[in-house]
Parts: sequence; C-alpha cells; structure tokens
Amino acid sequence: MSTNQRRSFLKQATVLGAAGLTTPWALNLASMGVASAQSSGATDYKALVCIFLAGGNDAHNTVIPTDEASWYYYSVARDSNAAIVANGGTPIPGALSIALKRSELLPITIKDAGGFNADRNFKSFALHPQLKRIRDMYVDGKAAVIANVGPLITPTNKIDLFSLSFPVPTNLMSHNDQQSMWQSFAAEGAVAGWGGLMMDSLMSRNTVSTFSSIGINSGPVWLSGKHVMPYQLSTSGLTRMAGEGSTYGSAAVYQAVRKIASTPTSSDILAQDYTKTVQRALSVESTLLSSLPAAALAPWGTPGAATSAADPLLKYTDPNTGLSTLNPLAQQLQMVARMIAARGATGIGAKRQVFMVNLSGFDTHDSLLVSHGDLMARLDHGVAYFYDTLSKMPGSQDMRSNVTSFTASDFGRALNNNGDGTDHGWGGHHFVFGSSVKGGDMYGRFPDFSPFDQGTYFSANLLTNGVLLPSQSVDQVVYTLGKWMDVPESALTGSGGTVGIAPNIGNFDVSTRNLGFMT
Amino acid sequence: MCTLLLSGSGCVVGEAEADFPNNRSEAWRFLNHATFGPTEADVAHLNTVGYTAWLDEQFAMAPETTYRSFMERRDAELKVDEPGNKSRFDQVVEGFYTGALSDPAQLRQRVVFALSEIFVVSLYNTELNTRPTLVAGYIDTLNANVWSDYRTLLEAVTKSPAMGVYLTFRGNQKEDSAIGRIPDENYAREVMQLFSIGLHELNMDGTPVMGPNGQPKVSYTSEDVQGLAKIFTGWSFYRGPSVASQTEEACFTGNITCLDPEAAYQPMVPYPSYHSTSATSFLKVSLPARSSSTLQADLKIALDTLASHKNVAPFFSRQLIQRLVTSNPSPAYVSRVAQKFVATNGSIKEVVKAILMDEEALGSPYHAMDSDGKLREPVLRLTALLRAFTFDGPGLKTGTQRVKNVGITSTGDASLSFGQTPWNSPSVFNFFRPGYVPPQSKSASLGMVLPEMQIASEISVTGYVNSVLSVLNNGIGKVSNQAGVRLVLTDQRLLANTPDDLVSDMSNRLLGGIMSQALRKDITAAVLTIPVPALNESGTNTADINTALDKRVNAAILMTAVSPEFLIQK
Repeated sequence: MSTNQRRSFLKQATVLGAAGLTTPWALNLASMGVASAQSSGATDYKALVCIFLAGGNDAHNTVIPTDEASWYYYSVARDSNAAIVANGGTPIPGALSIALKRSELLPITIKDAGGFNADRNFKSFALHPQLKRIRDMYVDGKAAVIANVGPLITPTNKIDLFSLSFPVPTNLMSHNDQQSMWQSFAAEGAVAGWGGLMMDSLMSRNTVSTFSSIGINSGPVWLSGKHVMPYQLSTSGLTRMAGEGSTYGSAAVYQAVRKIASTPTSSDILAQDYTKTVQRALSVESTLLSSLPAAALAPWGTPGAATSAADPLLKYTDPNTGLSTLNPLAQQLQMVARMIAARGATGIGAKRQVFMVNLSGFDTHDSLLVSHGDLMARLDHGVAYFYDTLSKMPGSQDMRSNVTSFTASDFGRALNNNGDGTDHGWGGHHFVFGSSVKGGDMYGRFPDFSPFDQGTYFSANLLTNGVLLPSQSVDQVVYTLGKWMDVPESALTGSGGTVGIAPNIGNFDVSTRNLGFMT
Repeated sequence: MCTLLLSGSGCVVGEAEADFPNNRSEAWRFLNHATFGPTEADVAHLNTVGYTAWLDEQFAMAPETTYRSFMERRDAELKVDEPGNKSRFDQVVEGFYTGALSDPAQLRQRVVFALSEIFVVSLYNTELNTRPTLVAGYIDTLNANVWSDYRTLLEAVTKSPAMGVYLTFRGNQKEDSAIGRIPDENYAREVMQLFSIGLHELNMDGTPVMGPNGQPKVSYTSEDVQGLAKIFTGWSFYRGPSVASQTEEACFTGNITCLDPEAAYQPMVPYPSYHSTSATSFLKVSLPARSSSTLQADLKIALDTLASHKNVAPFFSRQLIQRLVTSNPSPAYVSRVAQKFVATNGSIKEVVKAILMDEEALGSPYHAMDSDGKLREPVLRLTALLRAFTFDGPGLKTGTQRVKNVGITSTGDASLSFGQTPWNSPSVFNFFRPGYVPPQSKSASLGMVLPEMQIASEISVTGYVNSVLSVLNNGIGKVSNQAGVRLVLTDQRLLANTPDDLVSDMSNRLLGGIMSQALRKDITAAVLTIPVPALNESGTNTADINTALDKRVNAAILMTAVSPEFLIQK
C-alpha cells in the first residue's frame, strides 16, 4: 500500500472507528442523541467558542460608522481620492483606496439603551459587505457588536498615555504578545488563559476534565487553566496510536509502543512534559473513537461526503474568484459541533465547555480589500453554518442558546492607509453570536472620528495613525461572558488576595463591568 | 588518538586529545547538534579527525546544489514526465529534504535551516506559494551568506525579494499626506522584534535589563517603528534587461508586465522616486530632511544601527543555541557565545563554532542534566531517523539521469503526518516561539521554556507514531511512482535473531549507545513476541523467516523512535 493509499485507509478507518465497526450509523446516533437529551439535555449545557482572527483584524473595515461626519474621516484616511478632494485637489481615476464602497455596506441599526453607551445614538453603522448572514443574525437578535475593545489595565484616556508611569498592557502592537494578552492578560510565555481559568471553576460540573477545554488544530493559551488543560482535536479526524490493537502482528508490540511513547524512563524534565501529552492522548482515545459522531452526518455534514474537505456544507464562495472553496473555519466548527453532539456520552459528560477555533491571514499590511474581503466571507459563512447546525442538533435540539461564540484578535488595525493595507493597532470591534446574546445591538462606546492632520487625530479615541485607544477592556468582555457561563463572581473578580479571571476588572466601575450583551 | 568505543570512556583526555570525542555517545551528541542526524560514517569520521578538523571541513564545503538549480532541473523533469507540469512549492520542500538527508555539507544545511526559523519566510504565504522560486532564491541567499557576518546576512535578508514580499515592504511607498498615505510599518517592526534587537533591552547573557518599575526595559517604541518604516520605502523587484522597456511604476508596483524571471534570484533594487526623504528618527538616530533620495545610504544607516545595537549579540546567539543545542542555555553559555559574536564582528562561523564547542554542548548526553537539551522538532526527527540507517530511493541512484531527489513534499498534517513542513511556517513567528512555555508543565514550574512543545499536541503525538510506522512500512516521499526514500535494513535483519544485539544496534544508532535498561527490557521483550520460524528441512521458508525478521527490525526501530529517549535531544 502506498503512503497515500494508507492515509486514505486511515481516514476510512477513522470514520468507521468512530462508532464501532458493527453499529449502524443511524441507530448509534439516535441512541446517543436520546441519551443526552434525557440525561442532561440542552437545559444545563453552556459552551463558549472563541473564534480567533489571527493576525489582527481590520476592525475599521468590519464595523463602519456611516453618519456623515464619521464617514468623511473614514474615507479621507482610507481612500486616496477622498483625501485629495479634502485637500482641494481633483480626484485621480483608479487611485488606490482601502475604503469600502459606501453603497455596498450592510446597514445595521442600534437600540437606544442609554447608560454609558449613550454617545452611540448619534451614529449610524454598517457591516462589511461580505457579512450578509451575520447581518441577518444581527437583525434576528442573534448577534451583537462589542465596540472598540482591547486590553487595558484601567480606564485610559489619551492624556493618561503621556504619563510614562501610567499602566498600560506590555508589548502593545506585537502580534505574539497581544495574541497572548487577549487570551491571558500577559505577554508571550503566559501559561493560563481566561477560557481555561473559567473551566477551572466550572470543571466540577463535568464528568471528566479532559474535554472541558478543546482546541481545534491548535491549543493556544486561552484554553489552559491552572488545572484544566486544552485537548486538541484535528479536523483530519481521529486515529488510534500504532494500529488497531496489534503492531507487526503482535499485541505485545502494540502495547509496548504505547507504553514506551507515554512513559519517561528518567527524571528528564523535557521527557516528562512531552509524555504527559502522549498520556492525555491515550487516556481518552477509546472514548473519543466510540463517542464522536462521524463528519458525514447531518446536521453538521452531508451524508455521503467522502471527506470533510469535499462536503458542500463546508464550502463558501470566495468573493475574489467566485469559486466554491473549502472554508477552514467551517471545517473547525464542524468538529466543535460534533464534540457538542457527543457531550453527553459516557466518558465525556460535559455541562460546560470552551472551544477555540482559528481563522488566520488577518495581518493585512497589503492587499487589504482583497484579503480581508475573503476573510470576512469565511467568517460569515463559518458562523452562519455553525448556528444553522446548532439550530437542529440530534434529538431535534436547538442549541443556539447553549452556545455563545465571540471573535477575538491580536489587535485592531490602524485606520490610516499605508498604500494598500494597514498597520498594527490596539482596540477593535468584535462580534458575539448566539440566542443567549441580546442581539441586534452594539455594546460599549464606539470611537469618535474627528479631524486629523499628518496622522494626528484630535479624537479622544484615535491615537497616531488612527490606532484605536480601547474604550472597553477585554476584562469587561470576560466578566460578561463569565457571568453567563455561571462562573462565580469571586472567581471572576478575585477574592482574598487571589487574582481574578478578569484580573483588572476591579479597576472598572461596578456599573460598567458587565457590558450587558448576554441575557 | 581516541577510537570509536561503544561504551564507557576508555580514553584518557589529555590536552592534545581534548579535540576528540571520548566515546561514541559524545561524537553522536555533537553530530546531533551539527547535522540532520548522526550517520555511522559521520561518527567514525569525527572520531578520526576530531572536532576542529571536522568543523573546518564542513565550513569549506559548498552545498551540493543551489535551490535555483534544483528547482530548474526538477521543472524540466516534471515537464518531461507530464507536459504542462512545472516546479511548484512542493519542489522547495523536496530540495530541503534531499539536502538534509544526503548533502555532505551537513553543518551548512543545518545552520541554514536554523536561520530559516529565525529569519522566517514561508510558502504558506499566498504570493510565495504561487511564486516558490522566490523562496528558492531566499534559501540560496541564506546559504551564500551562512558563513559571513551578521551585518552582511541582515542586509541580504532585508534585500531579498522573498522577504520583501513576505513582510510587505516590497513596493512600500513614501508617505503622502495629500492622499493620506503612511509607509507600511510591517518590516520596520518585525526586523527589530524578530531579526535583530528584540522587544527588551538585554544583558550580554540574554537576560532582560529591568527598568525602575520592575518591568523589562523596552528596546524600541511605536515612534521608532514609524521612523524606521520610512527607510524601508522605495524598494522593489530587480529590473533586468528583459523588462527594460517597462515603466518604473510598473516594475515598482510589481505589475505582471514587469516580472523579470531573474527577479526571484536577485536582490531588490532602489526606486528613488518612491523613497521617503522627509526627516525621520529611530533608535536615537536622526536623519534630516534630504533634498534627494538616498536609499542605499539610508538603508546602510538603518542596518548599521540595528547590527551594532548591544542586544544583537545575546539576542541572536541565544536563539541559535536554542535551534541547535538546548532550549534553556545557561546565561553563562549565552554570554560566552555573545562575546564571541562581539569579538568576531558577528562572524556566524565563529558563533556556530562557539555554540557547538561550548562545555554545555560537548560531552556525553548521559551526563547531561535533566533540564538540558530540546525536544526534537518533527522535521529533525524524520531526518535523524532516516540518516541513522542506510536508506535508498530511485532519486538517489547514481548514474541515472534523474535529479538527486528524495521526493518528500508536505509533512505538515499533524494527524496523518509529522506536523511540520520545512519552509511552511504559519507566520513570521516560526512554527514555535523561543519563549514558549507549556502550560502546567514541569518546565513551567522551573521557569524553563520548551519552544518545540508548542507544536506537540494530542493530535501530533499520535500522528508521529503512526507516521514512523508508515515510513517503516512504506517509505516516504515519491519519485518515479515509487517511495522516494526507503530504509535498507539488511544489516539489522542479520541481528534480529538475537534481539539483544538488535536492540544494541538501535541504542547505538538512535540513542548514541546509552539506551536505558528499562527501555532495553521493554523493546527486547516485545521483539521476542514476534515469532521467527525455524528453517525447514527443504530450506524453502527463507522468505517467511526474512519477513519475520524484518518485522522484528521494524518493531525495534518503531519502539526506539517513539521513546522519549529519542525524542528529547540531550
């Protein structure tokens, strides 16, 4: 057998192995669905899904202010001709622009909620043209926008930044450090993030801790707690280590391979750390192989699809080519949906879970409109696919109120045009999805756009080059989501000298800690 | 002179002989640092000539082929095999594995690979993926400058079109307030954070300098990034004779009409009218507004400033130690290497020598500390596994018309392959970060970092075991519709009747002769469960016997290669 043949064999074996070789699919799935509906049901299950937009999402082209004043400053910063006209010149046909076309934007409305969000009532907003289904979810009350959020130690204004001793997060604008900052409130090298820490406090609700925190194709720090470890799953499916119970015709070799791979033979520190991962893989291999439903099943897959890569449900239309193309985000979310379907299975028994998926390519220093448009199309398709799937889970369960998803990113990008793209920033706008979201609204203060000169803004929210100074902190998002997940207040804020999961929330006024976007 | 000794240290180390390994495991360890995996021939040769002569031989060796030549010859070959076919990104990876497995210039290839994980460009990038010759040209550039000095290397990297594309400063234009345009900051930021000085002020031993607030002192600010960004304007693809009729604008913007095929292999060139001439400052250097464009001079000032920054020696030295020897070098080790960097004006050759010949790198792995060494990254596991034994493939036969090629392409799928493809890092931050700390690990509790653990997961640990199994059963790669590389294990077959001897061979080849008793016991017992039939009277069951012996051999290799004793390079 060639390597390729063997691989395709492995894939088939994987699918079969998932329910046991002799069990008919429908029967297995039905029994599992019923079992979970009866034992735990959707009544006490909550999951958070972090959709990480790796590279720094260009929030300025994701949620766009469309009132006349804001639009004017947006277009002057991003569209060469708008700048030329503003400077009294004559437009040049074909001049570069990274501004979206106003006529193609998808308008959204916001509710009059007052409070600390009051200033937003003066503005009108729209979403990126590729976010059609997310706009529909927004209109349907199942999506909300969190404006201008980013890491902050304490509420911060522009004047504060002149003081060198004023506390701000370290290593701002550095990709790896700010990815870590969003996820863990510390720069690279952090070992626990707020998804994992939430699960530390919720773990006792689950039968086993292993499936509390799950990363698809990666296991970033957000998923790690002090006790909870992320479990990584691949979109390529599951395989058993070293064969199906016998290696080179010998069960003893099979057992020895698995033992050797998972057992340090000395006090070597590196060996101990590596084998811990092997031990984790082996400890739940059988559980996963028997519980995880196959990919080619409704509602998350198309029965008969040979591979997930060939499943039409996972394909989106690339706006630049018009071609139907595999959406890697949907592929990861399919695995999340399959794991959610398996939540009640023996050996899993999950009542609270956090998941992380990743969409990369957002570092759009170049070709912004083209690249970002494609990424927005993937986000739109992936989220819509996921919530459509969740609306009709096995056992006729609508799980959209059980699963809340949100976007996060390294940072938002600067407003100013660097020719064909934008540079690193700080704050950005984000989405939160699900039926438990008080959707159809925007939360937090949207930045003011106001005149600038040579890259310097007078706006209270725009720093040099149109970098957003966050007006909402990641702590507030964590606090709001944590309350929904039923994380105890003391765990979120910290108590008795211990640092909370939202470590800086104490620096924010009590009335603003909960941003109010969850029911 | 010390000769090859299978166990123990039977050699008295005198001054004259300090240049020689004391035993097999010392030679084996050195070769793990300096090559893509020790071979029997390398071990014997090193024992014969000693470290200094071995290094000098290696420093003098040219690569067997350039990537350019490899890509062009593979292109011709692919067109013969299938009209309309051409060299693609896969061929860059083939070139890598062919060199890693079979080029005698091992040290050069190994250090180029290490540099590729510091000065990262990646075929994962859409433009480089569709124009892989740029990456081929980049690797040739690293190869051409690998024994130069840091400043020369930094300039070659900066001017390379692959880096220009990857970090988006090719075609980067000066600021223009009339249209609201500012220079792209991408390269200015990453050249400081990743390629030269890093985020924090460093002591010579690589530890951060602390500020009055107890936090590390930052080495640059956003203003430095913005100031430096102006320098990296006005550079774009080489304009050769073939595109002489094209406008400057077409060539600068990288228009399809101005694609000189030579541009992949030539440094980027200045386009003065696109370069910023306004006053700028960065890292305490100020340039006044200039009346004419001075690209080369500006670039020189910028690169001189970066290369002479006191951070460079410890920043670069520590990372290169991590790539070759150990994840957690002592501050003293970093300091010794960094001092060599300073003393030799950043000679990479001298820095590599200092790294490999340091007391923390030499000696038997048996005596290494529990915190020493590094997790072998997947690519290096595969190369070390194959090089430990005899291997062959249709692209490695002498006297054929085919290009020397092992035919290994993507090894990136973590579930179904090794979980890492060379030259395919997901971002400029490499496959793993030098500061990665695995959560809830013993390393974390001891303040250690374990970069390579960043790509070890529940998926990849299983994928690795199954991939070794696949390599043993099927070979790996593809050349002429056959496995590109296959292990030739006839020597091991001869040992397989006596599992003890077979396991000793595994220990020697894969573990430097120091396999633990526990592992030896487990492997021996498991191997014995594979029955070998006795030769029948008519002597007709030889094939069955060989099949059984081969199973024993494969099982022994598999069990050794998945053991933490192999996976952790001490």
